[in-house]
Amino acid sequence: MATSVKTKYIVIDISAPANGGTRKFSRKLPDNLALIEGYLVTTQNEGAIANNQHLGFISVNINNRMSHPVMEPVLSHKRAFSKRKFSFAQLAEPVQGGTYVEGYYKNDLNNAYTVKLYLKGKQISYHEAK
Amino acid sequence: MGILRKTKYQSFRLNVPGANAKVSTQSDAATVSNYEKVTGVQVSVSNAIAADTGTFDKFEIDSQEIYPPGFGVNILSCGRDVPPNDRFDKDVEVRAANSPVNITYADPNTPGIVYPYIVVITLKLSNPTEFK
Repeated sequence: MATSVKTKYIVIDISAPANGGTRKFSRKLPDNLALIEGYLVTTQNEGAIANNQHLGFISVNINNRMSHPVMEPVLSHKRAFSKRKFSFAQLAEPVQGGTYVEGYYKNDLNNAYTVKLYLKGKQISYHEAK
Repeated sequence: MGILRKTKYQSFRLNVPGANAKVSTQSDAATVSNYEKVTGVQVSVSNAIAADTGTFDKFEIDSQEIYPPGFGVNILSCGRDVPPNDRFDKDVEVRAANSPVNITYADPNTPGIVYPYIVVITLKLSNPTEFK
């Protein structure tokens, strides 16, 4: 029996509600996910007025709320397209496969927009050795 | 025996004709045969707004999911001021050697996008050693 470890991404779309509302999210993680090693939060369509400003706040729980590794403000950046490449912030969260990642996004602006939470993890699979 | 070269860049080009279009690689799209692994992925989009908001509906190589549905092309793209070797997502390692490439791009229909535009996915293919 051979073991392979592969990178697995989870993408969670969050609609930031208008007028300073809060949106909860919940996603069941794959059964064979073993580790979350990074996260990234991006935003879309927040509007030019939000350039380089605080947009809101995100909170992320893992392992059915046994761990709370992410709790931070979300900023808007006018992306200098030629100079920047997105990269994941580091985490090292062991995951029990099949548990839930949950949390909320609090919008601190009046307009609605889209937030994407990316989780980068490692999944383990077992297969017959060749 | 011929020389096995270490690196090759192979591109797949998708033409996006209009709003909400979903465009896929051809059904017989595959990596070239004489490279062992795919070790990097980069995306470029000819429309700046689509580059920031477009997503992949499917991104599979060798029948393995590389990126899930909804994965933004902006995560895999950058401009020319980023050094060439840093432009690729290097946390990819999947069998090449004539593996099927199954990619579907979804236009986000964001206001301001001008159609048609082009999405190019570039794979970095590698061989671990050179032989003579």
